[in-house]
Amino acid sequence: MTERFTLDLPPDAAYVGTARMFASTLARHFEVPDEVVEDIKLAISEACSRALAVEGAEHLSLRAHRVDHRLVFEIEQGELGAAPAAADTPTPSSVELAAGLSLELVSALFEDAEVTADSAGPVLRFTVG
Amino acid sequence: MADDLVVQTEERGDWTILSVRGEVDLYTAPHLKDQLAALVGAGRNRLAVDLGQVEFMDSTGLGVLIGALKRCKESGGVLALVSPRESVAKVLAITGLDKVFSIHDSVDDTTS
Repeated sequence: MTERFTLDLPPDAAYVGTARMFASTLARHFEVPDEVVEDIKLAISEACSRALAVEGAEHLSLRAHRVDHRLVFEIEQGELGAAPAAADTPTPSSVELAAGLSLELVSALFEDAEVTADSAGPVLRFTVG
Repeated sequence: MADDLVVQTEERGDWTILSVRGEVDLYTAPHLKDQLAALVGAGRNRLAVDLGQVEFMDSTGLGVLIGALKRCKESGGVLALVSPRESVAKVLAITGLDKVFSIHDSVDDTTS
């Protein structure tokens, strides 16, 4: 049986912390070790920042499913190649850094991390466990 | 945002200590950026950023610190990081920025 969890938030940087809290609560529920929970929080934050860096993001969408004792997280990324958002991001340099580092950071934490096309658009996916 | 990130400053000679508490991410990083920019703009370019109470930082926060480090260096100053927690130290290590920043165990260690 696959257990599925979904969180949809407004496309606002104020909700990135909410996404981290959702993911960490879910991970702790499934008894993921604390040090890995910290990695999940970082990966989720990077993925959400990456999603919000795209202009016209309509929502911040986080999905998770648990299968065979593994927890898979998926974060919608908006349309690849779209222009960076201007309004609710700190500075161009910060946005550029986040865009450049985010995927590398997530990949360093979870080796299967990848951005793939989904029916809803590009999705950053990584697996825990 | 005030509940998510608090930045307090204290002057010690020509050093300014920024004590940061909370989480630094896309939402809160502008607050830290503004504080750092205001200090450098006011000629306070020897900065010690105490991260001992920072529970979380992502690459947006790193971007703010790198920008401030660059501005400090351009004006002949320095920016040091103090006592980052394990989770923040890990982000610095993964990105290689632990070799870019001067990182100290305590504020006294930094300013002495």
